[in-house]
Amino acid sequence: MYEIANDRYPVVFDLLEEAIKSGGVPAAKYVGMSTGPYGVRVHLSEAPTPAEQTAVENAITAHDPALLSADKDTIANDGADVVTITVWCPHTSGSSVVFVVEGVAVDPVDLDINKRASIELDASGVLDRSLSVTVQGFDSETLEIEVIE
Amino acid sequence: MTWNNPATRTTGDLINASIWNTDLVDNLLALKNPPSAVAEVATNYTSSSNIFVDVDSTNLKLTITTTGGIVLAYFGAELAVGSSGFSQITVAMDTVNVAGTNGIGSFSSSIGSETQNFLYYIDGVSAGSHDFALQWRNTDSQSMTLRGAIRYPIQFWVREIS
Repeated sequence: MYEIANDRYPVVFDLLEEAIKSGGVPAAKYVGMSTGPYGVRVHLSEAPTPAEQTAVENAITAHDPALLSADKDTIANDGADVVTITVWCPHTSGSSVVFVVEGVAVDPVDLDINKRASIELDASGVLDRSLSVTVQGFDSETLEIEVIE
Repeated sequence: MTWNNPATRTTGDLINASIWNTDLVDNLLALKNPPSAVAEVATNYTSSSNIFVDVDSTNLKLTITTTGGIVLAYFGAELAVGSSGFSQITVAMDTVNVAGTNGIGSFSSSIGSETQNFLYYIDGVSAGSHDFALQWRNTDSQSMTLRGAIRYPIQFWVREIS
């Protein structure tokens, strides 16, 4: 059992794992990945070649997560109810982020000193039962807020 | 204070201060404070490893010096299982899994995110220093999460009981 360790934390687990898997580690050698306050550990059944080691380290270093959270799980479709979406981009050197709401990029929002930014959204214009939000240019999953009558 | 097996006395033996302190005082203190260690960690962990690996080899690995005998190990936390396969948790003593192939707790993908806990009896522990590490795996390489930062911390402890 071999491990490649890196102190990058936090991460978007599924996106980083996909990048590592597609980055040059043979499937037969890949055992899995773990994350915690210690960072990232990539578990391998055999020692990596120098090229595989470099590929994994590059994938981790290139990982630039945008971690999304919301202050509520549902929003009323009345145009008045609002949800506050917050993003945390812990490793970015940039100063702003662009939220993508229902597939449409909105104006850039400045990151604060803690590399966080927030926007308030209502459900007007939502055509289905879900308000979707992601962040442009980062490793970000899509946050879905359930829209209710 | 460590346990010392008291000698059997017979009628007429003189119980001096040294004998009293060794056989009674020290042993009562040892019974009151047996070798034990506790970790409470308010952090989330995620893993997709299909081989047992340490959850956190710094904060969820405990060391106690035993007098030899039985150790109890406890684990409790909210576990969000992988989307398929079994999410399994175990304890490794000195890097060796104390349970079978499937660990101590094996949780199906159908249970979602729930509080899980176990208490495990480890017999035949030799006298001396031992490491106890909380370990986990998912049999289908699906990501699972221990959610110590959401409602309450992950608790892991070991205690020699005999």
